[in-house]
Amino acid sequence: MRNKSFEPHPDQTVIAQGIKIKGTLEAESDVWFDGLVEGDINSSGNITIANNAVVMGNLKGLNIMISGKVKGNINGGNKVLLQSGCQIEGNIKSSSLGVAEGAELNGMVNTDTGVPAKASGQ
Amino acid sequence: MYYYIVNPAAGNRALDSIQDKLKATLHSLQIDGEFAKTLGQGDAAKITEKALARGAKTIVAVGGDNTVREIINTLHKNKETEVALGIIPLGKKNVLASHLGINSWKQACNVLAVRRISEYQFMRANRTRFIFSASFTPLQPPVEDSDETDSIKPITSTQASINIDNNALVKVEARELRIFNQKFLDTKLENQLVLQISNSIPKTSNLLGRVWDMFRSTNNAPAYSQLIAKKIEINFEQPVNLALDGKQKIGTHFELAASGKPIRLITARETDIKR
Repeated sequence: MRNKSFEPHPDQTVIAQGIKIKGTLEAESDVWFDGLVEGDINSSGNITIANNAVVMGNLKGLNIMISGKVKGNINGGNKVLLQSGCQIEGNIKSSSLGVAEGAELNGMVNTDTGVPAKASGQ
Repeated sequence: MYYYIVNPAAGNRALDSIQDKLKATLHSLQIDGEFAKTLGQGDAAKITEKALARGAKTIVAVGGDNTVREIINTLHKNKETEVALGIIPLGKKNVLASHLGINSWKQACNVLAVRRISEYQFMRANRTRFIFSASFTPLQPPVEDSDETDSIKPITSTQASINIDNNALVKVEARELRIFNQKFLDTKLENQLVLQISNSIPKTSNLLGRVWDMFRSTNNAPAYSQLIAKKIEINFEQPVNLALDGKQKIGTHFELAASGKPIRLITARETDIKR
């Protein structure tokens, strides 16, 4: 099995495996992230946290899909999707949350529908 | 009025074989004008000054990147923001024309006739201005005349610390860094810097680990990493070669940002500004 590579769109922020970032990553468009960041990622568009990614900070975006590790709070304006194999340690705020089998979440979930619910384990 | 600045030596005297066809094509498209030929380096600049004095509103470089660069620098020196620059690529290197979607002299004639214009801001790397691209590559070690020559391995990557808009510090083992004006990639986007990084992904040393690496990934990998910024500061651990619009420089510390007033270029790309 060999993965095909993709060409980023000219306004897309793309960070591949092997890149380390310290500080806040601000983007006006979509972010695809597979590196290591000690800091927040803020985007006006969608955020994809790929499966090699390690995020030690908060995520804020429109739609957020996570396959990697996140230690921080997640704020998805529209939707947050936790993929199989992801590891989240932090609270999630979003109007919609999707959780795949095998996703790990340790934190509070707030879907803006009422009192936050405690979520822990797989 | 169209003012054509022609480098007859460009592309191994490519003009010789197409001159009559080119003039006939321009005439049929109703965009013929004045022609002036360059005789050597610096002539394109002098002719540009003359064209501006004569009130030319459209200057066309018929040649390669060196001709284009001379004209652009003269327009910038004269703080010219009204004149549109077109390109008929004839040179060995036609990087800017290619960025504008222009790949042959015939296509260029049609592009000139349609006259779609887009405004591109200059970029600067330290104190040097450039218009379309900056490319950093690790310097290869000099081959010394000694018995140990065989043991010298060429440097294929170097450690880089990249400050993005004073917000984030990116650390990467880079093979090559390229910086463009984002607008050259899509005319609807802003004049901002796009940093593309061809990085070295750390590989697992043993075979089993590599096979596992291949299978565990469910995501398609990007062809390169990419960041968008208004200001980029780069520190390299080792000296690198910087090619600015094709011109070479060597260094370890570079500051890049958009700079100065924009220049109007005639493009084959879709754009909002027309004529």
